[in-house]
Amino acid sequence: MKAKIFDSELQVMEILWKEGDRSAGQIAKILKEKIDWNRNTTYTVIKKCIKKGIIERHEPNFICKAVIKKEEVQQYETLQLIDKMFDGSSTKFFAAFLDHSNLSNEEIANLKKLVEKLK
Amino acid sequence: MNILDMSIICSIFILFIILIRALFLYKIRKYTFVILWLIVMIRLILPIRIESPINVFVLLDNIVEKEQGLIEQPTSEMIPKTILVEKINDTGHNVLYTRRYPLQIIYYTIGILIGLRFFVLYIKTYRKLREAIPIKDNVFINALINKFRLRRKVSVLYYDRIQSPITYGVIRPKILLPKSLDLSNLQQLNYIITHEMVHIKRYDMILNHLSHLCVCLHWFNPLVWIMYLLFDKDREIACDEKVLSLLGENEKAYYAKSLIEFASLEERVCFMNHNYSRNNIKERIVSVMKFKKSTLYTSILAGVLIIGSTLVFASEKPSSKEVACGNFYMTNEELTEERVKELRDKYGNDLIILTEKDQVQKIDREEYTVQEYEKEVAAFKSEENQNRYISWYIEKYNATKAEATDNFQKIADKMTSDLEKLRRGTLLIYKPSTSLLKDKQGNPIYDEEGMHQYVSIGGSMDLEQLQFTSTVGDTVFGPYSYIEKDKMKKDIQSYLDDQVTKGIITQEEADELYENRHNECSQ
Repeated sequence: MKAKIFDSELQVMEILWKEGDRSAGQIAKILKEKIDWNRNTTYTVIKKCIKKGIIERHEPNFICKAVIKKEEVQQYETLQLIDKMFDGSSTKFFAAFLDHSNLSNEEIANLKKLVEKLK
Repeated sequence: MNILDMSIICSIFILFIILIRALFLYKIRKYTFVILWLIVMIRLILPIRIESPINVFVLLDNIVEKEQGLIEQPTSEMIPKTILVEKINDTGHNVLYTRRYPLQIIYYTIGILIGLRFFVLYIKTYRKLREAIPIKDNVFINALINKFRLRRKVSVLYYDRIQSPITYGVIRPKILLPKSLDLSNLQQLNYIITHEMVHIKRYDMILNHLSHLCVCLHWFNPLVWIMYLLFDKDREIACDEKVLSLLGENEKAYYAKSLIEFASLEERVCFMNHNYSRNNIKERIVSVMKFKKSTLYTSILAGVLIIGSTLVFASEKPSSKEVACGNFYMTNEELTEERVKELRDKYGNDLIILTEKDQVQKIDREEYTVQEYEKEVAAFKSEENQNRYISWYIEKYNATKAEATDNFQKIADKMTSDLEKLRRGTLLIYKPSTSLLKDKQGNPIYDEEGMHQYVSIGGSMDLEQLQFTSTVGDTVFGPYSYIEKDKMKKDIQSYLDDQVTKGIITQEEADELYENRHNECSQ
């Protein structure tokens, strides 16, 4: 994943992750109800997603399919955050978390795993 | 009233407001300036008339009169201006050709380009901002919005590509908050939402578009651009003022701090909308810190400023003064029989109408012969007529004898020079409508004041200056002068004959080409 994914694009991705492949028309309907976007707005955002390579559109009926997983985006966003706020040091990031939160042991273990993975 | 005149008048008004603004910005209600700018803008856009005896024209006229001892003649310099040319085609029908000055083309082209630029920016921004995601069910925000009791539904959204809050939309206004904004900081949220709601309530977005329109129409006037910038600033300052009067004076230091915080994050995405904190931050902070509840004194001062300046700057001088040079009426408006009659009813039957517009075909266009016009001029210049004219003028305009004589002389000179041009064949002078101006014997009518009545249309049309070109097929002939008009026809004929002889075209095609040739005339 090269470009940053905007919130608007995440709205579309969320639907595909949650509900599976959908046509552009269906996505537009869902978003109309959920956040009151008009059809054209949704179509524009889907087009941008296709351009970024995070959605693929297949025949028949132009079904949209998420190319990346939610976890990949989460990972990317986390890395961005670490880069921006913690000088790229995952240790600092981790330390900051431990300082200010009451994380359960399980959560800490998960975080550790995540950091390992990112390394 | 044409665009250049409108621009010049408004320039004086704009300068005046800039002066008042410098003197009183922190002393009177800031909304006063928004209203003053609005009056200028309406004046810049609409050619409406408000008559007032104490307006800037009269004041200027008085100054000029005192200095020069005469009344200024109305200017006939006009953008857009068209010239009128007569061309007689082969069938003997009169055809009128007009050609726009390049100046007019430049004016429209640049105006439209600026308009397009605004439009494209607007669409681009709109398409970006509509991707914002609504913030629903925030009790605090909803309560703040409901306090304003607007009929329009205001929605609040968050957006990840802006740094400071923005409002856009007129019918369904939207307040966009940056995603990074801490929604749990209720004090700051209160400031922001209240500020944006004041913009929405005051329809500031429409005013913003109006100022764009002014700039498109008056792009050549630097003062209009200055107005555009100041109007933007003053709307923000006026908005801050309203916010403080709603929140209470005690909040002003905190409010100022909140503005500063967003000023550092400022960016330039927001073209068509209102931004919580913009580049005029310094003036805004000073204004916020100097905020005082308005008093009776400041309200009266504001009222006097608005009404006074509207009367002085945004009005016309009373119409009788419009015929500033005696009974000459210069115009570039459309002239029809009815309009001529209407003007005469308004200003008196002695009115001489000068026009430069290509509207001549709409009224009776019988031309004067040299002899006829000589008679007219002689009758006008007769001593008897002169005396009657002068006493009439003195009475009508409360003028001195010198002014009246001078005025008479001006008209006489103009007629003499017109006559000279008529003799040379470089000017066409049209007779006035018969029904209005001639008696049963066909003699010119002189009314009781001794004024002769005629309409000199195209009076300043100097045919010597004109150049003719003719396009036949792809070939252009010319330019020819007015006197060489016959030569042009001959040239075209011999060219076509030559083509026929060579066998390139048939005689029929030649005739058709000749028939369909396109003549143009320019100055």
